[in-house]
Amino acid sequence: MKRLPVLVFFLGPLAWQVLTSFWPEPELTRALPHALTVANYAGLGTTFARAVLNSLLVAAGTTALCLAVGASAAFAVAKLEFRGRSLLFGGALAISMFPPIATVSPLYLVLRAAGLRDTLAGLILPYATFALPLTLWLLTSFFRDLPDELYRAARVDGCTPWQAFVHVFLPLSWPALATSAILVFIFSWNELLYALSFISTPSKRTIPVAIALFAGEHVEPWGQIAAASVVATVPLAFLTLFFQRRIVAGLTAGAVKE
Amino acid sequence: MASVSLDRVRKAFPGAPDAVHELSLEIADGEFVSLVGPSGCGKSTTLNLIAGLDQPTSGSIRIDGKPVEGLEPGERDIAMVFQSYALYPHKDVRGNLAFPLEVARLERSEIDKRIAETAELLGISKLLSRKPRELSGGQRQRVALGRALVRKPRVYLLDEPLSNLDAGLRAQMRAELRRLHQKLRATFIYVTHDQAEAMTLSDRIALLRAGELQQTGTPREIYQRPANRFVAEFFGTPRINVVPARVLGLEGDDLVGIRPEQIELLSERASGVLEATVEEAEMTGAELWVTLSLGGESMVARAPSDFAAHPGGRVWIRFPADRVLRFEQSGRTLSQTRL
Ligand SMILES: Nc1ncnc2c1ncn2[C@@H]1O[C@H](COP(=O)(O)OP(=O)(O)O)[C@@H](O)[C@H]1O
Ligand SMILES: [Mg+2]
Repeated sequence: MKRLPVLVFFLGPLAWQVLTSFWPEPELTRALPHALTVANYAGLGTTFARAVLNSLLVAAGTTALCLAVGASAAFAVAKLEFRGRSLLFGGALAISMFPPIATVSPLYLVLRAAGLRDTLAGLILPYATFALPLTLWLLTSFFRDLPDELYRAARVDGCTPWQAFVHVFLPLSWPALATSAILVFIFSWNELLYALSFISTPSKRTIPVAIALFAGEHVEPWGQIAAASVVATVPLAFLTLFFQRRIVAGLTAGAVKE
Repeated sequence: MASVSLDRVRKAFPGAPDAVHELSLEIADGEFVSLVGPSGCGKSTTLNLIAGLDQPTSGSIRIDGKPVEGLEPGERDIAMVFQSYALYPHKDVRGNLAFPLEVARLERSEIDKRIAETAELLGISKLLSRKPRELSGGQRQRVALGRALVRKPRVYLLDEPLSNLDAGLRAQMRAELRRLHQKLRATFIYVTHDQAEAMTLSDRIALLRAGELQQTGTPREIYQRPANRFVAEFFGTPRINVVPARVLGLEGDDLVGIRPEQIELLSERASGVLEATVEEAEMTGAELWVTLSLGGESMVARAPSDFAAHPGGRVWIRFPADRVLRFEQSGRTLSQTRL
């Protein structure tokens, strides 16, 4: 019973959103609708479907890039000795201190010069950059918690540092990789500022941009916005539920002795 | 098989005194040498330097007469067993044993043959499809040993391999290690902080203290002719008694050492004995460890378990004069002059 207020607090807005998405547009001002409808979903159309696809591409691309770079860098920071190790780690963390809005115009110029403005790759690169510190942080602490002797054993068994990473450390790091993947995926799935600033072609918009631009000059299509939000939320909710256990395991890895 | 030689090897970590200081050590082909010393004295560091997991700050290391500088750990033909065993948690026992051979790209048939041999030798054939977490401590230990054995290396490096086992298992594994060494006739370099383990296993012992070599020698040499007071006190249970010479009725201001088993306890006065008071008597089963008070100093003597000693009681002691060790005033070096 004590849980009820908590549930209402967290799930209430979501339930309201779902309800609104099935609410017939003309009846929005009433206390309760006469009947529910899927018209809002039907009305989303192919432009929105395109946005969902774009978002999937961008989020998946960002996650892949971020993990590939993050995991190997984190392994190096955690287990290898090299000059500038703390500089690399500190530098990556410093990136996360920049407010994104301050970087919009310089990034715009950079992307335009690189010919990546108004492309999905032009979103993936900055997203991965901004998500990298978190990934690096999570994976570094995970790798640090794996015993040094494991690395030494692999080296004595004939592995190069890279082979030790691929054959010994990667197979052990699924919980941490899953955690990082989810967090990066959610970040890029939700990102609005860069997507709004760097993308101009309508067919290349991502979900947050598409939703933000639903509103016409005189009308706010609340029903459709709600339907779009539900479509945007459901995959995340399932992804998170599915990986829930692993996420907790990944976030608290090594916090307590087994 | 190969010899290992260290020539004035030094390892300094930033901002700390030398972890290993100018260490020179010759280990013969097929020898079983223990590196002993208290925790933090540089034993593991030395092993890591030989393995190539760390690079010496100065000095050189040779394996089989050839300098190994610049060789990767995998190229040195050494195998190492770690204190934590460091088994690969995601691989089963077979996978753990196969890994070094797979990295070396051996033929599958050869790999299978070696795994079977090694598993047979160590009695782990039935465990091949288990994961490390499904094994007991003793079984993990065997697998760790097996992962070293499959490679048939020239030199084995063992870093406190038995310290995580309980006492019974440790004694059993000790015997097994000795048997293994006799069978393989490979060079073993064995690290332990346990003096008794070093004594029972080794052909030769090297004792380190704060990165500095104190003495090398056979267990007998080290026990009977320790180079200094630290060595004398490190080996033997109970510890050697170190007291001012006058307490034992000897000339000089030096400190002298006498091992507990060299002190003979008498319940009656006789000629040439010293009188002492019993402080405490500790029954260990086979014998009695008697703490004595003598001239204001405490000493321990070992007596047969039926010896009658009661706290506060009076006893007499006698000892062979040629078994007394005399330490120089600094307490550091020992004069070998017999009394
Ligand atoms: N990677 C390292 N960085 C800094 N100091 C170290 C490192 N490894 C070992 N040391 C120091 O070197 C000394 C010897 O350590 P070690 O060889 O592990 O001792 P032992 O194995 O004899 O217990 C210790 O004082 C330890 O703190
Ligand atoms: Mg050690």
